[in-house]
Amino acid sequence: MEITSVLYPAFLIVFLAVYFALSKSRLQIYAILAASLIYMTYSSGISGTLICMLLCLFLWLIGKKLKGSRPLFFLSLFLDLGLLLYFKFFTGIFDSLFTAVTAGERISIRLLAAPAGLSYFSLSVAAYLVDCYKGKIEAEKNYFHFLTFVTFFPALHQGPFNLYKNLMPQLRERHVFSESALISGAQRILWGYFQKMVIADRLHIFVSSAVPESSVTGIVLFFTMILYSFQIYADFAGGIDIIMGVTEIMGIGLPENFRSPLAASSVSDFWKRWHITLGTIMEKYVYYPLVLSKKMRSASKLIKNKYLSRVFAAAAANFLVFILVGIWHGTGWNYVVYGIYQAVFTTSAILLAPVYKNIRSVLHIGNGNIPYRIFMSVRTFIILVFGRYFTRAGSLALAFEMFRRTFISASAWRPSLLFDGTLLGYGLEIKNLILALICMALMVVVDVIHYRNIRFRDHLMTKPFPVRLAVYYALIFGIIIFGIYGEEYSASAFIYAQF
Amino acid sequence: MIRKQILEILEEVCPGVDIESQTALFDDGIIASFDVIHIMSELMDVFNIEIDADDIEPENINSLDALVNLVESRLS
Repeated sequence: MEITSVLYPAFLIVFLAVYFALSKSRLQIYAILAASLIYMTYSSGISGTLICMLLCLFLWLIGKKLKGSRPLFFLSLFLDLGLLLYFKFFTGIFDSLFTAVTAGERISIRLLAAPAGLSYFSLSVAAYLVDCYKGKIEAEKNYFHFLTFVTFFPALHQGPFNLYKNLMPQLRERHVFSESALISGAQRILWGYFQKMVIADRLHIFVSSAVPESSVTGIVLFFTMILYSFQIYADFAGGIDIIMGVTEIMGIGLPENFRSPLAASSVSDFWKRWHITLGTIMEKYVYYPLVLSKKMRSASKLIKNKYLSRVFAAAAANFLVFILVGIWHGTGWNYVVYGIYQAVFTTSAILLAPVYKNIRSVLHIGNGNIPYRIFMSVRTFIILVFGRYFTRAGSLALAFEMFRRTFISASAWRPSLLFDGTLLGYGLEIKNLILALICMALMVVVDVIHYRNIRFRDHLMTKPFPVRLAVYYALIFGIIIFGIYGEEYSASAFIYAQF
Repeated sequence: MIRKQILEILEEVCPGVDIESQTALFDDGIIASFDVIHIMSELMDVFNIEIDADDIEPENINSLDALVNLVESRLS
């Protein structure tokens, strides 16, 4: 069930009616579970839901005996991450082996569908297993409560990642209806739909038309990839805003996934602002355990250079984490190279920190220098746009082909190519293209406002009712009039739901 | 004694900074995140204590007092 489908709001209204009708009962959590299982079955079929329920049963049983038991810990991780690896990597291999065995007959061995949201919930469950093993949390006593945590439907398809210790107590609490939460949540949902349907899906038309076109080269291709960078941000952040709005109405607080990524001053800074909950999981469960491990500390001490010895562990673990982040996004080599690309910038920032510090000091540039800050954000954005080549291309060979097309000749970089009508050949006529560019500017403005710690929704609530009403109408009619509706009014799928 | 040893570690990471007067070493960017790793590793080696990912929070790193408290809590 796509969040942008007509069915989702109807599903949500029925769910919320039942959920709040049960606000005085202990059954409220079971309303969430029932909705989550329906949502999952609708998205990935009954086999996906059964696989998930069975996995949860095993892990719930093991979880209760996990504290301090190394064999059980590895078994539980094997089951949890094994399922993710199987569906992410091996189904393709088994498919091709089976095709070979059946002499080319195209019979698919993949009879079972991956449970919806596997990429997301398997990591949250892995974190739960680590915490149980280390004795940091008590294992969940109630199977159905555990299943609710794993399948929690608002965050199932594209996160944010939830930690058991943060989400589970909230799921168990009883939540009463709040008018202010409804208004605030609805505002966020509207902004989410606007980002997805007006901005991301509009940019998608241009990008999906221009990228495969071999005649698109130089500055036009680079411009297309800038549009793609905004598309993926509007798509992902739009989806997350809808999810956060829904959970706000439910009275459940999830961790924020974005903090003004367009304002990032470096690639390292970007990853503290983009997909924050993936970063938190990676930091707490991979990065820190690795850098603080005895082996890593001993390896650091072998390095003679004082500074390098100090930062070796951080740099090495950082490199590994970014490769894992790349692989989490997809299975092709292009995703591995995407991870390495990010790792090169973030790791070199650690290794060369004293050099950068000296340059800033020689040039008398302080942190408050606004032109320098803007320069750093634009530079970071350009680096990230080139990184997006790897994820957009579909394969490593195609990514390099796109790089070749981008730098094909100096004449392909004539700025006039952006104004001679070339851009109008990729699905968006002039009015739509201008609207897309205005929306992109709006996203920059919103990010800068958030960067300055101004909460737009709080600000809006202080305004007189007619002003608020005007903003709501602008958003609603913006979505209705300017929203992009695909075939049979099914908007294009969320990009991050596919990872 | 513990305080003096931690002070020496911090002074090595941030030469020229008056550590005793600082209350936002991490929040103000005086120590970078990769310096935090080095400081924690040194604390683990010098005091033979275990430090966990959950301990790496700004409130434990922002001042000399906070780090002393962290080490003392682990030693006890």
